[in-house]
Amino acid sequence: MAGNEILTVEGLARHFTPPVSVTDRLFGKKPVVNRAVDGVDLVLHKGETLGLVGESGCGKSTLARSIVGLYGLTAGAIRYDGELVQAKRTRAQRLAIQMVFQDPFSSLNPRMTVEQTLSELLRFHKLVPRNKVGERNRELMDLVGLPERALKQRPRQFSGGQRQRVGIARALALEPTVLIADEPVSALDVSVQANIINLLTDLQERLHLSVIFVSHNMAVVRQISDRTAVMYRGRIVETGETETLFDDPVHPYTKLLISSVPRLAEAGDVVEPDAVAAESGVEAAGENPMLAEIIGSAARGGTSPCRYADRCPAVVAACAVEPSLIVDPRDSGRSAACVHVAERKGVVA
Amino acid sequence: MTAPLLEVRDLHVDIPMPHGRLHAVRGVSLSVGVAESVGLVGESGSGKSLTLRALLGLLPRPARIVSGSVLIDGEDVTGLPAKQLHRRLTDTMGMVFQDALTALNPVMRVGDQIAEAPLRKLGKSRSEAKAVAIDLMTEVGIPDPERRYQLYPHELSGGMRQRICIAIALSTKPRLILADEPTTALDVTIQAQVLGVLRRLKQDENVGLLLVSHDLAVVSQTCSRLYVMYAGKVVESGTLLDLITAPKHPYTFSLLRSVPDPGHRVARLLTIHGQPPDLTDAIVGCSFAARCPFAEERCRQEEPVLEPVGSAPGTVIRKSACLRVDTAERWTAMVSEETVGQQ
Repeated sequence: MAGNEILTVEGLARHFTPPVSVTDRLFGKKPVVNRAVDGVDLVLHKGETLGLVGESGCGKSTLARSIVGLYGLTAGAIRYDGELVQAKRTRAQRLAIQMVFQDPFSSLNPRMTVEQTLSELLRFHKLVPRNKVGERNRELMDLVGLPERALKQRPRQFSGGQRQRVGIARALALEPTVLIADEPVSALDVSVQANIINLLTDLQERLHLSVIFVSHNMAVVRQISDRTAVMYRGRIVETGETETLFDDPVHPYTKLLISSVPRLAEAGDVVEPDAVAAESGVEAAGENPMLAEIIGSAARGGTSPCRYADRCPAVVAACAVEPSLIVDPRDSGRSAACVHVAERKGVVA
Repeated sequence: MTAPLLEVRDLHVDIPMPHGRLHAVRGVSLSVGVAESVGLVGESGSGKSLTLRALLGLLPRPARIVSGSVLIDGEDVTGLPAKQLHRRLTDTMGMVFQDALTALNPVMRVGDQIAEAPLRKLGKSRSEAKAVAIDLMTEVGIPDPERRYQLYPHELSGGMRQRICIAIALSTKPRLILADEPTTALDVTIQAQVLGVLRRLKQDENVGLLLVSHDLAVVSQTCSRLYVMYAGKVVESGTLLDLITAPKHPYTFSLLRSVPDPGHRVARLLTIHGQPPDLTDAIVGCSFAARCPFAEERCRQEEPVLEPVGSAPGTVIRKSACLRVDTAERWTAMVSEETVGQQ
């Protein structure tokens, strides 16, 4: 695997500090820092699709936007093709990492036709000679499965699925090698989602793209991604091959997430609410004596406890120190930020 | 056979538009038995939410009911004077909305919101109403109800807010809960908990459920019988098991194969081409014909009727609105041939 990385993220953090009003500042009130992304290590290999899942507010979109360069970094580094990405990116780096946005309704200029949108990009970045712009436009339409006449239309004349195709064409116009897709199918109707998922799969194979697919929808991520990373409160808590991660999750949060996904209940396949509730019971865990002990010892030792401890059914004393990603002894491709990972060896011989 | 708790017959809902009218619900008939949980599935614009809202007289302006009748316990209540009708409907049904934050009054303590109906409608005293509210909060799984009674909606999490909404819906002692996408705005872990609450209500309290959702998986977790809606009509109905194991309408069939399953990965998802028809126009023939992989010439001309299809006597009647329903067993083979042909 080594040497095959196209993109590496090292200790990336992005914090947001809300503004404090003048009066509050006079009284010495400190702003509450929102640690949206709080130390993420991530590797994207050439030609793979990496799924990034988590619940709302876990920082997955902030991470995606930081990688593209829409947000600056509070800490950490991004390497593209082995080279460090500086705060001011080189032209090649800017072109190489492109994004597909969630909402195809607001991410396109409503007053420009598709042709104008695409031509502007191609001319500005001087990607093709001026006389070849039209040809390239038609190529892009063909690539995303839209008819040529779509070039003359404005975004409002398209359905949601078609608009998302235009959004993808816009990203592909710059000939990227890495595509960051932030919830690209969430705004679409169920019957249209499959079209876009299949399109992204095809494009990824045809253009040898490396894709980071951000989604809260576990089923979609399972369908599209080769590897999956699970995020919780600004950190990656587990990462591994999609199949193994879904079939045998290691981190308690991944377990909860996967068991909560409703499945088509053909025969007694019902997600047991009591089991899920017990596992996630924020309130129940509040009474856990072990939790209080951990928080106490973390405070004494000046460490921060595991960020999942307050919801976790399996807290132990060691959770007082937040674990970093620990490689699963059974599978080197997998790691989880949980002290229980190391014990895994004994469980499956 | 006893009359169903709720029956809707041939409901039509229109939305006047600047250019003509949008015929959003085109003759929907459905029924919910006592303590039965029924799902209404369809994508946006299929008319599922409007159907539900029309039932309680909660249609957003300018939508209006054109025709149709609502029967409660077999009695047609459509002709009743407005006040009596409202009373009859709200006595029978309670509603849970998608967005719990906007459904709640932001400047009123959540407990008081639950106690409001027992206080005003059921004529309880203040202390009795409060006790009822706290019981209801316990019932929907809110820990520490006495403390949470005093909180305002913004102080609660999304899942807790939705539970408050369910408690409010239950506060009039309804026999049926109407739920419009109750978990769509929630995270998966919270969704699982709320679905659990809804399921428990049916088991323990004998409260019926009419659940509207775009998500077949969510519906399958709570309901035993389904109606599938497309372009303002019910295109298929039957038991959950029948519908998902052997769909008899191409729309249900395609939907099942186009939605990824969290349990396993398929080589390729089936795609449904095109988009739903424009409901301001009159639809000639089958409304799904343009997107249907099995449509033939007559599908574009004849309008299919929702008819019973091969169910054994004594079982729940299975209905489908498809002219080619006789070929249903071969659909899987036909689709795989087609995808092979494309490659």
